[in-house]
Amino acid sequence: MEAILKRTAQRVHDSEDEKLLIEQAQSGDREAFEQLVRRHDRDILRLAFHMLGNREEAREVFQETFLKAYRSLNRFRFESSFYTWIYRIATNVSLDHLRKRQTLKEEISYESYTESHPDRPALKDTLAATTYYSNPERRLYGKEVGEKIQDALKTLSEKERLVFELRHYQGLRLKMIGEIMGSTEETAKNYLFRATQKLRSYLTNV
Amino acid sequence: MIRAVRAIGGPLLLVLALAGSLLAKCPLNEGATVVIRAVVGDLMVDTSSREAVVDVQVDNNAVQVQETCGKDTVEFTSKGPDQIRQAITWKISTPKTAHLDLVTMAGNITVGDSDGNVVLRTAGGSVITGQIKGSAAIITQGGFIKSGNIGGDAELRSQGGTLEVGDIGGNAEFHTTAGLIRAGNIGGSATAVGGRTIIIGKAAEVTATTNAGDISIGDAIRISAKSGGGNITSRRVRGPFQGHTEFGDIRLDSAAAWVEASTGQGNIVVHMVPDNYDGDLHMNLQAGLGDVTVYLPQRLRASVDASVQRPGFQSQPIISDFPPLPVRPPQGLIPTNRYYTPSHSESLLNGGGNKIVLHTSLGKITIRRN
Amino acid sequence: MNLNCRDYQHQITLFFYEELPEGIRPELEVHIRECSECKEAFDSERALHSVFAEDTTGWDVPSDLLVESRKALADELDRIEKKRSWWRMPAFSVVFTPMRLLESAALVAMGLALGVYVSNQQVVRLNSAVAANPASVESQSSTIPGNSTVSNLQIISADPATGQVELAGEVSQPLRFHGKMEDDLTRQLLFSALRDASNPGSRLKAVDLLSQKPTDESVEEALINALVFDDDAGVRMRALEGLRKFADEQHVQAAFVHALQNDNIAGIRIQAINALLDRNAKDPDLAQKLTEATKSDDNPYIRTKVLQFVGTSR
Repeated sequence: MEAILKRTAQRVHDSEDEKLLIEQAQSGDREAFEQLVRRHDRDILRLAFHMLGNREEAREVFQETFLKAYRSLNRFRFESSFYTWIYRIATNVSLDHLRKRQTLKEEISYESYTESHPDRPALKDTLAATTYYSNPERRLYGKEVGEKIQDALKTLSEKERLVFELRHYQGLRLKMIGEIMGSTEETAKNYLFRATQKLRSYLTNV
Repeated sequence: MIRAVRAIGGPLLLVLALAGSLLAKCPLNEGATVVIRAVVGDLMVDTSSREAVVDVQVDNNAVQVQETCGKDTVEFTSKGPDQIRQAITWKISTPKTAHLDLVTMAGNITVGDSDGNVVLRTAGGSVITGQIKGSAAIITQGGFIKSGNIGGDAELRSQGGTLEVGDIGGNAEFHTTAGLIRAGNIGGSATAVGGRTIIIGKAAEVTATTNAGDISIGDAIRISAKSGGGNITSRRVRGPFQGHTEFGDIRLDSAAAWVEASTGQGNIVVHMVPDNYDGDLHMNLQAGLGDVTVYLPQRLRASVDASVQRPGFQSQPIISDFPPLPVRPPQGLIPTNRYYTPSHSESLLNGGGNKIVLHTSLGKITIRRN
Repeated sequence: MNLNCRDYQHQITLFFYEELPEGIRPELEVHIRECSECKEAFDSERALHSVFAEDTTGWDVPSDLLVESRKALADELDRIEKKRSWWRMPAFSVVFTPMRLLESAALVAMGLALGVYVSNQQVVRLNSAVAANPASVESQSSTIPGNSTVSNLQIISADPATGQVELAGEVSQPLRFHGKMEDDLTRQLLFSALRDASNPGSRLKAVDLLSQKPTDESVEEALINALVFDDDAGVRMRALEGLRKFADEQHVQAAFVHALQNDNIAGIRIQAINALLDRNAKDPDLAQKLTEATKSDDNPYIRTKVLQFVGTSR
């Protein structure tokens, strides 16, 4: 959490030289564009990877996002921050790809899940049972947890996954997330709530 | 441990099995072949034994060795699981005179010196041999091949590894998809298809192709070379030379016959040193981007045609020790326009003869007297 | 405020993400103390965030995927730019010939503070210490080097009265660069050569050179890039050889496993497995990765080696 907050602060500081880079890129400076890309490409790839769940599509979304940005950079008028702009592109591209898949995601009601499985131990009890291992084992455990969380994310709907990804991994404020989605902060809050409820249900099995 | 022992040439042969019983086996004739088919394991062949026996030891009980007698071969095959968790070594001792035909699916092969012919194959390991008097065929999917001198013909193949061999008495064939090829003096012809650099000390006819890397041939009677990206060089070619590289220089320090060379990008430098002035001494040197330089002997009879497609700015594109043929300027053009330097020049040497065509799209052409 | 439990539970979620609106917190705290259902929801949410805190990899992106994606993007941008630059050429243009990096040694031309093309995709700005001041970039009047090529010439303005003419265009000159491996610019040029999609010989030589110096992160990244991505088997093999001694490092290990799983040249896969086994001892996690990576490999040597490693890792 700290790391995410630190990064957000860093972003504000960088906005001045980013403005210069954008202007240079808009006038055709390829290197400036590449520098802009470098600032955000890891985050965008992570977003794509978490959203799509596989390498192949993550790469496609990554490519499409930055190519779109490259082609329409001239239309960027500094009305929002650059990263909002690029995230907006990335989320739209991700959602498009997910829709193309035409998978029907059942909106799993979080309430009914816990109700129908009363014998599952509460999450906090599961956690209390785990002990803190020495470092390498901790790392391994951390990896297992990471993988479990990735699996859990697959149970979310597209929008729920998107909001969770942007809030949890990218550290964006819900107000910003609302903007990126072309919606409101309230909508983003609702999706986040639903997402965390589902994750709680799923991760009871940890 | 199972030990199988063969005595060569003698009437009585001994086999020591775990059980300790004695079994009579068949004789192995002089010049016979020892065949090993190992499903798994490193093969180490020791040929230093003075005794005329073949000895096979495998250090794992799970592997059973089966011996089969033939008139001219003795075959050891392994029976056992093809997937084994432990490392396995076959220790083989044979006389130097035996021919060897060894296969392991998963392991390295090491052979000492041999007076016979060897065929060594492994699905993945590397092969190291000493001096082979006969011919050798060495094939591995992935490892490197390091061999001493080979008296007869040689065929070395690897998908990924380096092929390194000393001198070869007969013809040589090298194939590697991603490795280096390095060979010494080859008595016969050499064909090398490599993935990286190819270095051959000496050979008769050489055909060398590589996707990426230099081709360097010391001394050859005839050369045909192609590189996807690298220099092609030769100290001395006594006959025709044909070479092309996509990117890189072509340098012939001494070319005795005709030369056809082209590079997509790089310089070409050829020293012509003919053995026979009445032979075919034509040249065609083309550089996509780079300089072309030739050294021609004074007494050569040649018609030289040099052209530069895009001359450099304010520079002289063609420099020649030989006087060019006079060119009549197009009608109306001021003859002494110093901004227009000719980029096409023809010369006749000793009245003309061999056609020498030199061309670069962007660079200089230099023609020097040898 | 008249909130029901459902609303309070929404607030709990916001609380853990520090998104609680101003002034709500005291009321929320009171409610949690009083309402057992919401207390349970609060504990449950806290437990969830504890699980999140244990996640050590969710923030990771597979480094080879990042490398692949960056490269694919760069190639596509190159392609787009190449198409575009043809459009920019005036009809009478003298030349459009891509300049490549020539590997000979000579000094950088003095006073040449221009961008010099080192590939038809990139421009490297030479900021050498001996460069003339930036002002000279604007007025190149008498400093066009002799063996250069001028292209894309355009007449900006011409005044017949004064005889003054202003021209713009590009000057290309063969690059002869002499530098040390430790220098940033040398490295930059080598990385550029390594990315030159069309010259495998150049890429091979670049990999060769980069492999010889003790590697730092950027060199390692470049070699990994070559191993995972290069079209040419020789280049990939050479990169692998250069990375061998780092096969126990996380990113290099991942790249080797990737090669093991994906490279269609058995020789490269074999060298990858050999390197991994030499440098990593008895790691059940790696054993699992290797088993997974080689489960459909048809080479018995590779399968045996993995089996032997798995056997000793138990």
